[in-house]
Amino acid sequence: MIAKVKSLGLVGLSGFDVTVEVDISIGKNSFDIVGLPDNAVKEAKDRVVSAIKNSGFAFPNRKIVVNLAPANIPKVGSYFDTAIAIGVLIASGQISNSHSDKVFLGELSLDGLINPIKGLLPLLISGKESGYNKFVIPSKNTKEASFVENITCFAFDNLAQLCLALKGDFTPSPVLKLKWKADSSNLMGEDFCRVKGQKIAKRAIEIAVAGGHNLLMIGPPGSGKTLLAKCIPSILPDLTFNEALEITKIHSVAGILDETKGIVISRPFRSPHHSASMVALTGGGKNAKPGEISLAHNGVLFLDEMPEYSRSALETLRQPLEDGCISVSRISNTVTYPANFMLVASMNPCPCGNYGSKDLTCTCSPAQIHRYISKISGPLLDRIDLKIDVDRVEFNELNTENDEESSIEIKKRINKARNIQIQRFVDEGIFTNAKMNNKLVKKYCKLDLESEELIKNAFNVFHLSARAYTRILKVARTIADLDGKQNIEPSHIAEAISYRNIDKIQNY
Amino acid sequence: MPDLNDLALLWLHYFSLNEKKRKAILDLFNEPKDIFDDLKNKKQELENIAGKMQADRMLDVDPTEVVNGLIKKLKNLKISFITRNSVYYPEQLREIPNSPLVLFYVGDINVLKEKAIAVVGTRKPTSYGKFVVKDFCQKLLKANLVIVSGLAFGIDFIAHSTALEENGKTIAVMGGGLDEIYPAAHTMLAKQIIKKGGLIISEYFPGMRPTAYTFPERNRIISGIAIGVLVVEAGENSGSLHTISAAIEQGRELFVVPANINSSASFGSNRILVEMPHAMVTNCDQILERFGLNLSLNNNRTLLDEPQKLIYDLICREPLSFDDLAKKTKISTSNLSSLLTIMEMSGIIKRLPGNIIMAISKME
Repeated sequence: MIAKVKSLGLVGLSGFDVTVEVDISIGKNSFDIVGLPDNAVKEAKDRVVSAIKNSGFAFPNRKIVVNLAPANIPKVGSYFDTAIAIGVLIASGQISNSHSDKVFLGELSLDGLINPIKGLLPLLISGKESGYNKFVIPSKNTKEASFVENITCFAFDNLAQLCLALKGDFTPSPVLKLKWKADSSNLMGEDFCRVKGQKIAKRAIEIAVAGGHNLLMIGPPGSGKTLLAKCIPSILPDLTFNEALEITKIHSVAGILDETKGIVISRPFRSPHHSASMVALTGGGKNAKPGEISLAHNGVLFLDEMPEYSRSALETLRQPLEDGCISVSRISNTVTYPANFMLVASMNPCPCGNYGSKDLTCTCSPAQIHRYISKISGPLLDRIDLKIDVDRVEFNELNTENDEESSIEIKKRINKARNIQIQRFVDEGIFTNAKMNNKLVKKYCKLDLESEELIKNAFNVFHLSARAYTRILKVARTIADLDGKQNIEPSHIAEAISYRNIDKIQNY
Repeated sequence: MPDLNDLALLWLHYFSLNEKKRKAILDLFNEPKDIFDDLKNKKQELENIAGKMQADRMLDVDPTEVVNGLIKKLKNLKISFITRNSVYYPEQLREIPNSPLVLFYVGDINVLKEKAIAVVGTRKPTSYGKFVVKDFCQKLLKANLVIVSGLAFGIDFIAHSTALEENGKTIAVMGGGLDEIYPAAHTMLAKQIIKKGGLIISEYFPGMRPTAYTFPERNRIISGIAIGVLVVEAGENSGSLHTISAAIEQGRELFVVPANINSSASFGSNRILVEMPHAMVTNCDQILERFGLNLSLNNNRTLLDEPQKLIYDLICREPLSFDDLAKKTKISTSNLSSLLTIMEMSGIIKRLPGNIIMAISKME
């Protein structure tokens, strides 16, 4: 007898329908899985045999063939264990054949427990889009499933319990739906009230976060660049539900999702070490896994000591910074992951770090400094809207009891500015000022005569480039939003210009 | 067009003899061009002057052949040359000890006729040095002086690029052949200098790579073609010190800008000031005055409003950091940023790396 059971496979961030067909026929004892299974899928047969035996059922000693249709797409991972086990039980007549409306997902352990799987959320969403609405899932994935609307999920601890429910011995209760709520607490990262002084840097960070602009901090070692960066998570704007779903999908596939929460409730802040390879940043590997830049989607990617990263790794950031996504091509398939992140980078002005410092002597040769600075290519710098100097804070300053503004205050302003942007771009398909293209800049960054005159002057005085013009307008737009103003005013333009520091970094 | 005399000098230059030997050889002939016909007859005299080995080298190949080869090579590389006999050869350079027999050049040779001032200094300037050299150069250029420097990193680079920005003329004197720019990173700068009507010169044949001894040699030309030498920041063992001693030897006016006594980038220049206090300049007008080039500089003195005055009064005495300024003026970060930009644009203040704000012109 042939049994057909529904399941789902995963490629990148989207699931595809898989029909698990199980045929038991008379012949020599065997158990084969076909349909391009990888090692994890092949090994399912040993898990399935033990799990069935240990759940109080008999494993048929016959010739068993399992086909995972469609047979031409490679199947990866341990998603199909439960479906295969149920298929075997149906084909051997131990469970009735009336469950074709359900999708089975889950990995089995030898004692019959159903273990959680990676990437459940994207699977459920794809399953829902293919028209299924009943899903059997591991109970440890319950939280993740409770945020997908319009479907019914049943969570089970073990195979025995699942089979009892399928036989109709008891009626399982579906997974309760949870209301999604953004985490607006300030528990993430350091608090800005810990940073003394550094007013320009703080203000620039506030602007960068509010408008989603990329930011580069340049300064000697010990000037507090890393501390400033670590404070950023505390002021990131609240997530919207759609953004949270996008992030959760990626984190779920990468297997870094917090099981107890089930969904991402705060923006990610990723800081890969500078030894990270190109693949670690962009994603890839045998199964085209998402990389750091995708894990930082809708959040922050922090590159500390930027010139220390390999040049090839840095250059791969260019496309995602422009398009907000990355295509990863591997032998098995090509996957496009979203990678819409805010880049925050820090660097020293030279290898020893003291060049340009007030009181320390730089020991680098001019050629060394030149080489160090030119590790960051021009096109990459062009995509960074705000470039600021960070200098050491003097001891007296550190010791003062000055009340510095706390992250909560800053976050309030940022949330306000971000909401203005979301409303403004509601029909444009973007969320932040930083993502405006030239057309949108023209539409939303209209200048009055006085501002026009100011920016014209600035061009002559500071020898700005055409690219700098767009950057200044975008930043000015964000400053105006923070100010709660409808139109960009001259003071906004003037402030935006002041963060263009060392635009010609080559002359540094 | 070079005549036969010029070609004869080019031939002589090829053997890079010192001034005394050069002069002695030229004295053997009525006119330099006689070398081409008469050289073989002067074998004994040549050996007496230059030694047997050198004389053999000179007699080995026919001078006409040597010169033809050189001319062809120069033509291919689009490099021209002038000799001491040329009308373009600067008078003041002719007077210096060991003046070069031949100068190779690319660009507009007429620039050599104009009054020039040499600007030299460290390859690793501080922000103070960068500001000073830019500020001084801008004013020197407004007085129509040509900026001469050595195309190196640091002060040289800023001096040349300021000249380009202000659409002024500039001359780069190289320490090697003109076919290969050193440092390579400044190849574009060299091209721009030529494009904008400037000049690149060297006494070295194409193919000659710069070495530790060519730079000091080259420095005598930098000061030689200039009427004065401005030194902005020279370190303890800076190459600029060679230029300074060449300038002293040649009797050029020397101008040294004083700097912080703690700054290692200025140990050399400050030491010179101790030895020669009269070389000190604290204002570009002092240089122009010395040359009788008085120039009334119109400072962009817009009327400051209240907060701007407050800021200006605070930074007038010494540069302040942004944070200090914010604390003392109690102006919000965003307002202060935009105020400073406006003041910077009207040329009243300057922002230095590390968020230091400095006042520029003295306000009455």
